[in-house]
Amino acid sequence: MFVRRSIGDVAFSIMNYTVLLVLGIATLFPFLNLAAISLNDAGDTLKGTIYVWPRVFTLENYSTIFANEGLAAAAVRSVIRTVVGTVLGVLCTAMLAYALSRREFFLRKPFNIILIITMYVNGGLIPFYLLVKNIGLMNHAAVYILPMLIGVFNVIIMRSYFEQLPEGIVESARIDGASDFQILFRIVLQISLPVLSTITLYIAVMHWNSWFDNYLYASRNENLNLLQYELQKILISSVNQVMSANTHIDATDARRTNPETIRAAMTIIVTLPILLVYPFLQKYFVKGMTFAAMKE
Amino acid sequence: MSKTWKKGLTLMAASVMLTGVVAGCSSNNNEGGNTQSSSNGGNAAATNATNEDASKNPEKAPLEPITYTMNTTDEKLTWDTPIQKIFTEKTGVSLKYDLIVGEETQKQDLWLASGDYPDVMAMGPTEVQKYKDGGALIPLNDLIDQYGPNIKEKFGEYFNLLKDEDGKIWSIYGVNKSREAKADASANFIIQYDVLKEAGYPQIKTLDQLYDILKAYKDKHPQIEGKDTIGFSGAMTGWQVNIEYNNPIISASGLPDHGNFRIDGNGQVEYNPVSEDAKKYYSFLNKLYQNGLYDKEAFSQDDLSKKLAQGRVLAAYAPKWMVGNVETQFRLDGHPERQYAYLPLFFSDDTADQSNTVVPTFAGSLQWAVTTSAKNPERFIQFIDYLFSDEGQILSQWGIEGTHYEVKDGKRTLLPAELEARKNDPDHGTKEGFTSNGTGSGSWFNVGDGAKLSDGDYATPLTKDYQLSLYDDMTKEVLAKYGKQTWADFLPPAQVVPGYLWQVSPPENINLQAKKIEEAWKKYLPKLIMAKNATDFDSSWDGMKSTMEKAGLQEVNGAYTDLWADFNAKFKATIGE
Repeated sequence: MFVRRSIGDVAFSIMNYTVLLVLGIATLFPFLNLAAISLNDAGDTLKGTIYVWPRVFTLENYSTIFANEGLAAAAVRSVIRTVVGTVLGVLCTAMLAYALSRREFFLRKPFNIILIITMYVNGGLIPFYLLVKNIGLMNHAAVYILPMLIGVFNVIIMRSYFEQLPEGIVESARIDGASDFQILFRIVLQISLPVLSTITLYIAVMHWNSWFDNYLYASRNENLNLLQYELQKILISSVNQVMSANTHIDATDARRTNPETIRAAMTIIVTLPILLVYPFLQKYFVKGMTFAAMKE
Repeated sequence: MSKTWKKGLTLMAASVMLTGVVAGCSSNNNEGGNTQSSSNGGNAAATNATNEDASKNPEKAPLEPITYTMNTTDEKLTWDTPIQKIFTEKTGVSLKYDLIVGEETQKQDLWLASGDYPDVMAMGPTEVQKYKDGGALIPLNDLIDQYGPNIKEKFGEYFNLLKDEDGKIWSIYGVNKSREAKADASANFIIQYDVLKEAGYPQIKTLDQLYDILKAYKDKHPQIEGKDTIGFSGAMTGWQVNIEYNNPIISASGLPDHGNFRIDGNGQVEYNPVSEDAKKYYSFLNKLYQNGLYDKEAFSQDDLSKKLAQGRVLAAYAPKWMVGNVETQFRLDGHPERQYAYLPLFFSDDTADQSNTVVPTFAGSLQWAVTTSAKNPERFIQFIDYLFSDEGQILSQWGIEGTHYEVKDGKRTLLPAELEARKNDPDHGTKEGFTSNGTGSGSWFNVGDGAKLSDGDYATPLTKDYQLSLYDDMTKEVLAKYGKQTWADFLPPAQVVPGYLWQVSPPENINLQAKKIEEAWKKYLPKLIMAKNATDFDSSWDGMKSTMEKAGLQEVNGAYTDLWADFNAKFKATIGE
């Protein structure tokens, strides 16, 4: 019996590890592949079949990208946007979620419904564009922050988390004479670290990655160009270069960039900061998500 | 409050006066000269000089600078270049580019919806229609009548083609004055230099001859640099399927490119992949496959140029734009023998080559339209008119005399330094100002490579001499073996056609049938090429044909035949034949 069970155990472990290993490799491979392409010679990459190791090592793809003026300034702007947007976003999300988590709040139901409706129905791109234009946000820095201030999905996660906190904590604080703001900032948020870090990461990544609002609403103000937008420009100019090189006979001898390597290097550049932050938030991240899920 | 109001009034008055002065000078220069002479009275010599000056340079009046905004997707475009500086000197006009970094049409639609589009838009015919319907465009007929003598002169008999069905001109683009194959034109069957060399540079005209030399080369060199030699490759997944499995049939039949259709002398349109010539071509591919010469990965790859870049594909069907970058890499890697010869190949020795065609105008994806945002649209038309003038043509295409080109033996020639810069710097054109939003063929209303201006010299630098200067030694050697100078020499002279079937919006009522037919084509293609023997091939062919016929092949052919007849009738009516 014992032997048999342990054989089963061993088999299970082997299976387990194999499946996890395959899964791990499958998740890691695309990233390694990009890293390898980004470090491979642009011309050589044309031939394809680069897997996890560069064939002709070079840092030229990165230097092509970093040679662009305006990139550093754009990166600074992106960082500022991410920091400001995240702080304000988390703050507003927390305040709204707290209000909605309080049973005594008499507009709780209608607010919840209104918020959820926006998750399924929206005005569409053109009405939204007109709205942004008419309230004067066009080509203004506020267009990066204001429209994104509240994410309903984030509010729901946070609200659910707040709802499962012991009611007694809030009540006793109230008896001690604390106001709602004091309760939120001094007590509720202090014990909600997992959900806070989850939402922070969500919002921060969203801000860091976004370039669409830059392209749509702020393209006529060069002082608002973000990192992602500048990178997109570099990629497009590389694509244009290849296209015009193929249709015109000029520049027959020039060593050119290759959109594929540029794209790979770009991805690595923008992913690295997130990769660096992620491990520190990860343990809270899982916790925050599961708690919220349990409650719902 | 009152102070600003006053200031505003003064400014307005000043600008009205200024406009009056400019308008007076530019619209009626001679009169200006006359007034001056009468007031000047005694000094006849001076008056004469002024008069001459005025008649020589009607644009001489100090031009009020004016800036127009214009959309672009080329982030490198700038007005800060030597050539653009002269544009501004001559016309007073500057362009400020409004960059679109994302999806172009989406942004254009948003602009239209919100009314904040740039003054001038470069866009395709569909977008032009949208903007027109949205009331965002200015019709250009009167402006061109008044301010566009050079535009009219260059368009000549084809001027009416600019007009929409409603008789108005909503956008402007280049006109093709060239009737010869462009110096950089080339046929689309490609064969590696080394293959031709080993075979002793034979004259090859047919696919069967190609087969023989491929077989001989592969038997002798089963591997190239440690990897299996591939006789012939293709790409079946993705959009290149049309280029690889439809276009070669058209080329080998010597017909002009009408997409997936062929048109006979009577205007009958036929779906090409199921034509008798298609059967011939697929059996050629099948023969390659059966003898191990066809790339087994062709069925699963979507980008042929990646395979070509490996240097072990001996031959293929690949337009120059697919191969250009690859060949640069071969040269840089020191393997010029892996470059390709571009030869026209046919089904038989007596196929007549009618594949080289030109359309009279360059209507296309970048037509320039003036929107209601533009102030003084006549100034912009004057600017375009300048670009259409011979002086503007030379400046925009050849550059500045002494800086970019010189006149040698009465012929414009690019200077050696300019040639060198063009060869080595992919951004050279943008930096000097040769590049603009396209206008159909190249930049700045190019009238066609190979066209001549009124001085009898070429309108653009893309001439045979220029093309020759760009070839490497091995290319020249290979060409010499065939008694030619350029790949374009293999092509017949161009015939003017009104347009191509793929440019006309397809008939709508046969969408479903067309889709089913295309699906049948894609389903049977691999079966045909991989057929084990002649019976297998024939049964696949019959299967494909009957599936397509069931799906409505006759209807589709009929609808396209009507469409083509209709298009030709309209064309004739427009140019007044």
